[in-house]
Amino acid sequence: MEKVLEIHNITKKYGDLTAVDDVSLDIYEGDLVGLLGHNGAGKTTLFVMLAGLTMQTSGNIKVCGKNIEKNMMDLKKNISFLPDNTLYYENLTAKQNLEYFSELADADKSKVPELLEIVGMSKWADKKVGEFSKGMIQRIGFAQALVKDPKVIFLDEPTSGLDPRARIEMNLLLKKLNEKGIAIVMSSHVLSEIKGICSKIAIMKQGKLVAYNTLENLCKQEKSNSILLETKDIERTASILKTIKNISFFQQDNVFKIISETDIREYLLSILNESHVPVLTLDYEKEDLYDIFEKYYQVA
Amino acid sequence: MNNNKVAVIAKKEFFDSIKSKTFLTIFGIFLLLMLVSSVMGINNYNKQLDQYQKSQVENQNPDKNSVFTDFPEPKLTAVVFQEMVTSIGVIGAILAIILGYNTVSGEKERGNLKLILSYPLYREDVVNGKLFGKIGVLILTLAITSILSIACALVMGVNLTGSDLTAIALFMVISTLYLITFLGISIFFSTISKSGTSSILNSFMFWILSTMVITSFSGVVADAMVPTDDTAFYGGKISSTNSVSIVVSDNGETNLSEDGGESTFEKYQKKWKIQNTIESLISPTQNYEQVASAILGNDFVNSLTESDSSHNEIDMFETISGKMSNIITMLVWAIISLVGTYMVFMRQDIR
Repeated sequence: MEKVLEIHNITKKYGDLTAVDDVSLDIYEGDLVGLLGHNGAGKTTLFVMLAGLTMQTSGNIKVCGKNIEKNMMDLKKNISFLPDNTLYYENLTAKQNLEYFSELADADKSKVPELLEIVGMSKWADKKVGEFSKGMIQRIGFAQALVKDPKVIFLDEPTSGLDPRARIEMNLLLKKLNEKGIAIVMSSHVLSEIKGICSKIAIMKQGKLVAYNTLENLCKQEKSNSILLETKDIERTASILKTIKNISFFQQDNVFKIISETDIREYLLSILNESHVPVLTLDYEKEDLYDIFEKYYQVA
Repeated sequence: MNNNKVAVIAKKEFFDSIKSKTFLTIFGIFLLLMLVSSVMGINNYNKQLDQYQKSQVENQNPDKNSVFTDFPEPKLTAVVFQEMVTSIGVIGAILAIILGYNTVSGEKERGNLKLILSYPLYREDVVNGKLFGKIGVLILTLAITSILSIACALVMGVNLTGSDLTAIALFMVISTLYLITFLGISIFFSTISKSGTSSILNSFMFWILSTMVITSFSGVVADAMVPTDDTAFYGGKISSTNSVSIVVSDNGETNLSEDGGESTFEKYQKKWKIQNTIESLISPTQNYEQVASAILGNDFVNSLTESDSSHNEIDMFETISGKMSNIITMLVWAIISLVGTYMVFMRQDIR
């Protein structure tokens, strides 16, 4: 697959504040990347640089193999950006808004009805944007992002402030766009949403990119320190566990959750076998995105 | 600069502005004031013309009892359009501020600025487009106003000569430049302010400082530099110690004199010059009023400060040349504010 975006060691400083610190990542055609991080982690600043609104202090960005600094105007045609809390022009209709953006993008205005159809807004084409709900405005935002026929779209918290139903619809829309081969990078604070639709996860913390991989690989990389043990003999298992040093455990029904800094699975299995305790399952507890995210934010 | 993008933005700004309720309200008030000014001006002109014609007849048959027989011929533009100078000076400036205060801050507040700048256009295209669109609105406003005023004059039976039309055209050009000055100032404040509210407050603060506060300030400075006895000038001591006489000479010049009165008059002339210089240096409105009045044939400042103000025929080229310093000072504000806008906007970090 073609590499649509290459980010090499970019840093952005505002005076003494380093908003983005030495970030590198590659994004391929058809990637749907979820960008996570607390408020102030540098997500929006990263988007703002990638969309060509401000220049990085150091490092370089390539879009479709071309350096953004030298080919800014051409490359802006391949990039779409949907900032958070954009209200568009409330005195213009949905159609007029999109026509205006088409003109700014040197794009074909006749595509506007088709774009409105894609985002399910054809019925409201001639209504003023000022009368729209937040969900409808976001749909117009998606349509706006498509007027350029972009290779990559950056979405800054596209579902923030939307009700659950609108969120589901937005995510379906994102999937639909992504299936067309458009690379999408979206930030969100809703981990379940990112987990549900994104093929890759990027985590930013204090301006640094601390993790970037598929969710599966991140789970493999970040081994849990919780072991789940399921046995048939609860009392004997509990008494055996009490004899093992440097662990703690909790029990719920016939499942024990054992917290240990070292891998004690083999040792545990041997002493349980010696004591003739039937073991049903013994494995590390599966990490999910929430655990991974929390782990990165706990490691100071 | 990308001319196509500038044109797209300018077109949108133009239509957005002329559809804006706030603009339409202020424009309505402005238009009404201008029409009232026109009608009042035309009535005044007709009265003055009557008096002039009567005095001409009386001059042919001199009446010994008549003291003031030499009425000057009223100048149409000076009488009819002079009221408009004040209206444009005040309401026009407000209109220009209202048009410009939200230019950049509004886009920031709506979150649209990030979006626009992610499109393939240069930052100066955004400022240029918005500026040209709004200048278009100002030109349209003044064009409608002058057409209606001229129509009023024609309907009320006033004959406009070629030189009148030239003066009106020049007056409108200067008025447009004046409004552009305030538009530029409000766009500048819009660029440096985070919200439309602080932008409009800053713009109005500038307007108040440059029109009202500066008048008081320059008066205080002039008083300090050239102390005068106001009671003597206005006649307070006339009955007790001084005598004042007004002498109308054959050529129409008026002299005020008292015991040592000529020197008092000179002091007032000096004071006027100081006050006028300070105001002209700072106030775009003051400069505009002086240039516009001169174009319309009503140069009050010159008549007060220059000894030779007797010539009635005004050469427009001479008038403009004479007021070049005022025009330049007025435009300096527009230039400073627009250069400031470009400099700030080009370097502004969009976060």
